[in-house]
Amino acid sequence: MDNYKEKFSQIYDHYIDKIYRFVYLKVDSQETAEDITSKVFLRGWEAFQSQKVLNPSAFLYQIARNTVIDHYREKGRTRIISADILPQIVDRGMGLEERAILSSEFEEVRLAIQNLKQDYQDIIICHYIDDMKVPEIAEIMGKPEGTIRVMLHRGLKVLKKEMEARKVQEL
Amino acid sequence: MQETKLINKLKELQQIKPRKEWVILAKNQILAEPKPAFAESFSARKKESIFGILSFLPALIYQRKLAYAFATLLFIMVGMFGFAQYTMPGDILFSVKRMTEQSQTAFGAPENQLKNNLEIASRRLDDLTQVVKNNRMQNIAPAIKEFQASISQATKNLIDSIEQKDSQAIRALVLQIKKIEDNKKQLQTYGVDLIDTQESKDLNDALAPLAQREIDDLEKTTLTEDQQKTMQTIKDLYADGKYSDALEGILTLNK
Repeated sequence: MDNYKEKFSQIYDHYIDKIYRFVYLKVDSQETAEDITSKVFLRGWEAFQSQKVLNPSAFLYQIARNTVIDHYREKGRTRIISADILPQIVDRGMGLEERAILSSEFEEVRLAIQNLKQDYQDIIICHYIDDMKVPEIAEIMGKPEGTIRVMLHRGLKVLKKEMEARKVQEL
Repeated sequence: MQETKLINKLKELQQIKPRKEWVILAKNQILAEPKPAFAESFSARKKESIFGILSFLPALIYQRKLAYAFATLLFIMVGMFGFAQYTMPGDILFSVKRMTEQSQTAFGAPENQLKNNLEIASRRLDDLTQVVKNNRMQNIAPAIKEFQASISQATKNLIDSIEQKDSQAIRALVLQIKKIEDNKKQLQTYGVDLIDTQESKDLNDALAPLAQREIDDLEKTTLTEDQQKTMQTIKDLYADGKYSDALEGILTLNK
């Protein structure tokens, strides 16, 4: 059992930042992100003890995707966050350190991502932010690599349009 | 905005990191969770899987939707089988009726196969009579076809089992065939003639060895004058190829 614990402890240390970031970019607060990330690793730990996990990365991202979906489904929440309520979200959820780091542009990107379709969000976060390769994303998403490449291209285009639309709104 | 600039902005989001104290606290809490029994040993895991299935069963049984679906299905099945018993050849559900009869024959004792086949043939003839009486034109052709098929099946069965027939079985067989022949004559009055069909001839021909065997046995016995006259009539019928009638005559001698 200690062997299991040690192995999972290593997995936790390696993936905690990535999974937290993946979740944080898809939800509305630090508190929710922490709550969901805890659930992801707890489910991961339970599954890890009962089955052989060959690819911890794909395994944890898959749980994270499903847990975020469950979160929105349970609460009946919408994933689209209006820019008008951004200050409240930032004020309520973020610590001082984070607020200092996040620039206004930084926040804009995050909100633009949250306005994308679920699949586009996942692919863009995994590829551009978490530096995952296309085959790995394909495994997590359960889609062919070719489809992921196309979606990556389209997702980036949609994100670009979203960002430009935000700039026009600001003007 | 250029794509490279956008990608660089995305890369900046890599700075997002969870609070260090939360990371440590969450890790301790997660790894302190009680271990599931199945991680301890294979036998324990197996036990849990059995209990898992058992605990799932009541949920399955009491699941209302499933119970309703099952009850509806049962109701439909019972209704369908019940309704099928009143169908005629050519009706949609007649195949269900035929299937039920065939399964009854298939699961019956082998020595009763021929008897059951002839009973089915008799029922098909009754169906045909009803169809003709009620002037259900679209059912007549399928009903004739079904009757002929049932007679063919009976003939095949008779040929296969002819050696095993004792006098009692022959008596029952002759009576069944006589009933069918009588019904054919009745049907003939409605304008449908099935007396000289190939199927009827085949069934009659299949009776030849049986009639021959019975005649040979009777010739070995001492007959009265009246019986000898009947015997001659039987031989004439046999010579004319009327094996069914010959067997009927033999029955009168064996009374």
